[in-house]
Order: sequence, then C-alpha cells, then structure tokens
Amino acid sequence: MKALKINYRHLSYLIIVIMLIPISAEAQKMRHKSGGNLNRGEQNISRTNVQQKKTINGGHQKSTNRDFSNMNTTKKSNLDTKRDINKTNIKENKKSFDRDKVNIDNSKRNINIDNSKNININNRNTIVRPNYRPYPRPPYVYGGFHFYCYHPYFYHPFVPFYWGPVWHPWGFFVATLAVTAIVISVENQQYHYDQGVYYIESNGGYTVVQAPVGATIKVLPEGSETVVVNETTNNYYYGGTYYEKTDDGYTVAPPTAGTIVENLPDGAKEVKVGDQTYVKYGETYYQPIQQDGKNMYEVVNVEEAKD
Amino acid sequence: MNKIFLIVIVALSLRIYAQESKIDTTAIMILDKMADMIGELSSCSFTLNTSNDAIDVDLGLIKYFNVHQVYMVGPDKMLINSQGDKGHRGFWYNGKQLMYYSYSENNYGVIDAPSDILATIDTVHKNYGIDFPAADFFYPTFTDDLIAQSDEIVYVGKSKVADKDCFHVIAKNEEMSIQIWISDNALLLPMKFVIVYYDINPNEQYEGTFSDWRLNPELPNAMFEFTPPPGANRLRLAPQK
Repeated sequence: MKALKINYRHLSYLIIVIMLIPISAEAQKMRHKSGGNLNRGEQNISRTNVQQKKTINGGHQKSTNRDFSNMNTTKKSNLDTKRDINKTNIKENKKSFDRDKVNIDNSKRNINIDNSKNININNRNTIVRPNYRPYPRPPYVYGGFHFYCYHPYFYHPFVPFYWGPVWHPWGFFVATLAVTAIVISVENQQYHYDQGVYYIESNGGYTVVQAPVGATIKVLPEGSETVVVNETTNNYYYGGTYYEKTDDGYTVAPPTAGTIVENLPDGAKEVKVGDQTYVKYGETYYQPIQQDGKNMYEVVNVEEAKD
Repeated sequence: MNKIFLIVIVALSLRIYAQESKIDTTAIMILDKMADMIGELSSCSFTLNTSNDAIDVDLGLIKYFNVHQVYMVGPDKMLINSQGDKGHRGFWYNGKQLMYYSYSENNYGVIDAPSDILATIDTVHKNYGIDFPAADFFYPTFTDDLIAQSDEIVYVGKSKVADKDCFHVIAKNEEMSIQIWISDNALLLPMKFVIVYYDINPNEQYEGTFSDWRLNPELPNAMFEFTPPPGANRLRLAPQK
C-alpha cells in the first residue's frame, strides 16, 4: 500500500513533466520543418560562389532561425520601402546644409586677398531677407530645410546672362580701372566701383567682389531693371546686385525672398536639391519659375526645419 | 491529495500548446527561393513600370507613372534609365562613381560611390534621397529583413500578373503592407509589388511591375560609363545631411 502511494505521487509528477514537454517539442518541430524545406546547405554554397562567380548582391543571406514564435519586430531592417512621396520629412539630424560658401568670413578685420576666387569679406550681400507676405504654398522639403516660394517650380536650364563687357563675375582680376571708377567706403573697407561692379585692391590690380551691403551710388548702372519685391517696394537689379532707393541715392541691399528676376549672372551654379534644381548665387537660392509664359527666377526663402 | 493531483493534471491538459504564429512558412519558402535565385544572378536586366501616389495640396491624391530600364552586372555596375514625371533621366554606376544625367534638363552630376551596387544604392539614397526602383529585392538579407519588420506574412494564394501564374504573398505591419507577386515557374521571379502606406491619410500606394526579365545577360562594361554631352550643365547635387 505504501509503495503504491509513492508511485502515485511520482506518477503525477511524471504526468505534469510530460505535459510540459510538448510545447518545446512543437517549437522544435517548426524550426526543423522550416530548416528542412529551405536547405541550409545552399547558403554556404552561395557564399563560396561569391569568390568564383561575381553575383549582384553576394548571394542570398538568411539566418538559420526561422522560428517565428518570438518575433522581434523592432529589429532594424535593411528594407527601405518608403518611396519618395511628398510628405514633410523632417530630419532630426540638423547638420548644416552643404552651402557652397563664397568665402564669407565673419571677422571684419580679416581681409585676406589673393588672386584666386577665395576672398574673405563680410558684406552679407547674398543672404536673403524674409518677405512680410505669408507663403500660401507649403515649402519644398529636403535635407532638413524648407524652401519657400510663391510660385510653383518650373524648370528651365540656366544660362548666365551677359551684362556687357564691363561686368565681371566675383574673383575676376583687372590690372587697372576706368577713369569713371569711384571709391566707396563701407565699414572701414575701401571698394572701387565702376559701372555696377565692385572691386578691392589686390596684388597690383583689382579683384571683383560681392557688392557690399550699404554701399551707396548716385546713379544706377546702365541696364538696371526694376524688380518688384512686394506691393509697396521695388528694388533695382543689375548683375546680381539689388539696390534700394534711399535719400542719398541707391544703396546695395540683400535680396528679399519672393523677388522675381529674369537673369542671373555668371558665377551662379545649378544645384540639384532632391528633385528640384535651383540656381545658387552666393548664399541665395533661386527657384526657376514661369511667370506669364516667361522663364524667371524667384528668390527662395530657405529655413531650417524645426522639429 | 489524489483529487488535487487529478485537478492539476486536468487543468494542465487544457492548456493550449500551439503558439500563435502569423508568419506563414509557405510564404517564407517562396520568398526564400526567390531571394536565392536573385542571389545567384551575376547580371540581370528588367523593365519596371511604377506608379506612385503623392498628395498635392490643391488637387489631393495624384498618381505618377514612371518606366525604368534597369541593368546590373555584379558586383559593381549598374545602369538605370527612367522616364516619367521627373523627366527622362539616367544613372550610370561603374564601380567608382554614380553619374546622374537628365535628358530633359541637359544637366548632369557626379557622386563618388562605394565599390559595390548595394552599398552605392544605400549611400546615395541616404545622402541624396534618390530612390532606386525595386532595390529592396536585391538586398542579400531581403527575406530576413521582411520577417524582422513584419507582424504578419501570409501566402494569399495564386494570382495572375501579365498572363503569368503567380504566388501572392503579403507582409504587413502597422505602418504599411507589402504585397509581392512571384512567378509560379522554375525561375520564381518577382513580377509585381504593391506597397500601401497606412501611416498617411489617405493611404498612399506605390506599385511596381516587372517585365522583360533577362537573367545573366552579357552586358558590355562600356554601357556603364557616361560621358556628358557637349553643352550639358554640370550641377552639384545637394546632400541631405
């Protein structure tokens, strides 16, 4: 009788243990099953084949674990199936945009002049001023930046405009200036101005630089055109430089976002920003647009995307 | 004591042993075989017709259609010729650089690239936001990645795409679903895929249809070299970072 009782307890323990087994056995069954069907051997073969035969992707790599009972769906995947669809992609990584700086040095005392196009002068000529008019259209988003424009994007190829024999792009060197040249002083820096082009003395001659903001001239260069900034303001535009009418004459001003010009100078470069191709002159982005059937450029307001 | 044991035993026997699995092994088998086949290719070419949705602020959901001719020679040559809403453009990869040229705009750009196709696709996509059609299928860890990012992978059944019998598989998670149609023949090639994005309202879709598959064609290296035509503007491609 006593022996029987012990057996009963042992037996029940045994039954409990037996009941626990099937779960893991089933999981193994799944693993084994999937292992069998997929023939793990092939994986090694394709790896060695990489050396003998150059495949497009080096061969299919698969993990041996095809056990789907404990799926970790948070594992990082190589699949990037998000296509380019127009939604605002605001990236958290705000590393600065690769701006093709035409050498603007913030130190006013540092005037390094050499014969190459690298001239460090702070004159804020091409940094865009915002327009007070709100933008009804959403911005174009790329690379952590928002590009605002009033007009829709309409591509036309960039051809630099020729403003005549006297106009020269930044960095151009001349040995002497015409007698019509005058001297303008802006923030303790002397500039030589002749017919819409600004020079500084360098290496026995003169090198063309960006027009300094604040420089005032009495007479606009020939060929200047009026450009509309908004309903109440006009600018005057010549050779990539904007002027505002002031009491003393015409003063160089930075471009205002939304201003539309027809021509851009030599020195501007096309930049492909995602799907849109802009033209960049200094720090200013111009969006190719069409206005009344004419190919024009609009000054873009570029803002860093906020989170 | 005996009664307690009996109750325990009965209770245990009522436990459910089968654990729920939403991954269909048939689907995985088909995907694995397709990926095995792609992994063995030393070169290929195909045409991909795509349609993708975009939301326009004024017009709502718009569909754009594109056609891409893709040529690849492992491990480091690729040519893609695309036509559609972004104009006519091409990408040439020769193992060192990726050249971009727009026939419509007559401008081109050059990007220094890594030494194999997939690293190039990855880098260029991350840095410049350029999408390479159907690139996902060529990742060596395609099936593993799909398993990792899916809550469910199901073999739906048989279907017909362009007169070919196909296996229809769907992989799904909360943000999107990917449907793939794989040809039911010895080659098990991808024929079509549709991605539906649930995290955007209205749900946008991206669809790609493969055709004119050629496996291991002999393609001359010269076709992966690009020379800009005279008068083409060189432009700089702005990186995303």
